[in-house]
Amino acid sequence: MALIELLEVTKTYRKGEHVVTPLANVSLSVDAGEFFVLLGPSGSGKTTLLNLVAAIDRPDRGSIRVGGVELGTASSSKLSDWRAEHVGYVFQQANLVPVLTAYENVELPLFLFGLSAAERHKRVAIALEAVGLADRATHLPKQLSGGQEQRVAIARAIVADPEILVADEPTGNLDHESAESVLDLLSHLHRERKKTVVMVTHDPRAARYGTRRMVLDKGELKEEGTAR
Amino acid sequence: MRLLPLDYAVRNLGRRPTRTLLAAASSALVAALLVATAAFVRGLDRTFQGAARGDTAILLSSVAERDVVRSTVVAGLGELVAASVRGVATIEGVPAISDEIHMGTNLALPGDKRARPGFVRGVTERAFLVHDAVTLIEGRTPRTGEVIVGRLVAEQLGVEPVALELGKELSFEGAAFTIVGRFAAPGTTIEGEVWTPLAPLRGLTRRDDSSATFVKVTEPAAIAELELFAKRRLDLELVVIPTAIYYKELADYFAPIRNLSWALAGLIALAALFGGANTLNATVQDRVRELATLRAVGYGGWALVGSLAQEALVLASAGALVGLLAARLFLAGSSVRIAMSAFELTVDAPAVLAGIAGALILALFGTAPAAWRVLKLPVAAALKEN
Repeated sequence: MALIELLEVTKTYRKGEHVVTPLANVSLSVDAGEFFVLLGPSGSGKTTLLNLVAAIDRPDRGSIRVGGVELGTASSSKLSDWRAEHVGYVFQQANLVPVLTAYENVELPLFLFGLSAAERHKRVAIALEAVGLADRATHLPKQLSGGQEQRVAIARAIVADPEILVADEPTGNLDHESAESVLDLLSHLHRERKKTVVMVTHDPRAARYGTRRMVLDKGELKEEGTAR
Repeated sequence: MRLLPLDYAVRNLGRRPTRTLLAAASSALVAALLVATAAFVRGLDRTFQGAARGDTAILLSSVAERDVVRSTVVAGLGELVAASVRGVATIEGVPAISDEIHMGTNLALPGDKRARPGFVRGVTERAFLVHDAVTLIEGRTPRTGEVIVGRLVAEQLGVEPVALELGKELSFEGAAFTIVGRFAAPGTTIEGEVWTPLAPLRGLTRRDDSSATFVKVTEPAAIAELELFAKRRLDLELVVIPTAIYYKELADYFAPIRNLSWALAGLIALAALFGGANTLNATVQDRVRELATLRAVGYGGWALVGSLAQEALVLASAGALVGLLAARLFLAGSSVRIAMSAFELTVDAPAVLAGIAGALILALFGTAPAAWRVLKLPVAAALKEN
C-alpha cells in the first residue's frame, strides 16, 4: 500500500538570474515498509524531492500525499506539526545543537508532544540504546566522533517514533567504517521497527541497502533495480 | 505552540561570550541610564511638589511677574495680614505668617577665589511655622551675623560638606557669617538655601521691604480671604499665589530640561536597541542551519522566535540587574545642582521599574529583525548553509 505518493510534481527555484527546475512532472509512489533509495548525480534534485516528502518544502505544481495527507497545500504550522509526528530527518551532517549533550539533542523533538519528564527520559534512553550510544548520553557533540554524531542524529530522528525516516546522504561525511555502521543501523530500523526509509545518496555502496532504488537524472525518475 | 526548553536559550548565551558580555553591558547601560533619568526627573518633580502646600499662599508684588526674587512688598505686610485676614493658621497663638527676603547672590568660603552663586533667604523665627518641612538637624537658629544652611547647600555650591560644618564661615554681600545650624527639608528646593535673620539682612542689603510674605491658612478655602485682602488693599499692589500653583509653575519652567533628559535617554536607548538587534541578527546568521534543523524536526517559526526572545530577555534581565545595582550604588543619596538650588535624585520603585521595563522592552523590540528572519527562513536552503 502506497504511503508516499507524488503526482506530477514540479519544483522550480531561482539561482541568480536563472530559473532551475530540478523536478518536472515527477510521479513516485513508495509503499509503507520500503527502504527506498534515490540515486543520482549532484544537483539532480534528489534533496529537493526528499525535502518535499519531508514537508519542509512545497511543490510549485502537483500533489504530494503522505499517509493520505495532502502536504502541498497545508499551512506552515500544520506542516510543522505533521513533520514532528510523522517524519524523522537524518541530514548529511548531523546538525546537532553544539551546546546540548547527546541526550538533550535527542530529547529536543519530544518537547513538541508535551510529554512528562519521565516519559521523555524513557524514550530518549530507548533511542540512544537503539543507536548504541547509551554510554555517550552526557557527551557534547564536540566530544563525539563523526559517526557517533550521526548516530545521535538518527536517535533524534526516531525518538518520536515516526513512521517515515528520510535521510539525505547520511554517510556523505563519514569514513567507510562509520558509514557502514550508520547504514546497518538504518537497515536495522527498517527491518526491526518497520520504518519506511527514504534515503538519498550518490554512493552506489550505500544504495545497496535499499529494497528499491531509483535514479533521478535531469528531472526524470527511472527504476534501477530491486533489493539484494 | 511548544517552545524550546529555557536551558537551550540560556546555554546559547555561552556560545559567544564576548558578544554576550557586550550585549549584557549594553542592557546594563540602558537600565542604569533609564534609572538615572527617571531618578533625576522624579527628584526634580518631587522637589517642587514637596514645597507646594495646599494650605499655604505667597503674597508677591503684582508687578514682579511671579518672580519672588524680583518681588518687593512692604516690610510689615505679615502684621497687616495677621490683623486683617480671617483663616490664618496660628501655632501656639502665633500667626503662621513669614515675611521673607529671597535673593540670589554670590556666596564665598574663606580662601575662595571665585564667587559661587547661591540662594539666601532672610527669615524670622516664624518661617518655621509656615515651612513646616524644615527641621533643624544640627545646631540652633541664627542670630545677627549667623546663618543656617540647608542639607544640600554643599552640593549646590560644589564644595565638600566639611566646608559648611558648624562654626565655619560663609560670606555674601560683603559680610561674613558664621554657620550655626544645618536644616533638612526633604523633597523641597529649600534644602539648597542659606537662611539668615531678616532684619540684619535688610540692613546689609539696604532694603526696607521684603520679597514676599508666606501665609499658612487653616484650610485651603481660606486662601480666598487672602485674595480678598489683596483686592481691598490695591495700594499694596499684591498678588496671591497658592504655593501649589507657584511651585507647579516653577516645575513647568524646568520642563524642557526634563524633556531633554528623556530625549537623550531615548536616543541612547535607541542606539542600544539597534546594537541589540544587530547582535541577535548575527546570532541567527551564525545558527541558520541549526535553526533550520529545528524547523525540520518540527518546531514552528514562532517557537524559534520565542526561544530567541527568551535568550534576549535572559540577557537583558541579567544586564538590567547589573545596571540597576550600579545605579542604586552610585545614584542613591546623590544630588544634583540646578539653577540656584539642588535636589536629591530619587531612586525609588518607579525609577527602578523604568530601568527594568526599558531594558526588557528594548530586548523584545531588538528581537524583531531576527524574528522576521527566522519566520522567513527558507528551511530547505538553510539546511545546506555552512
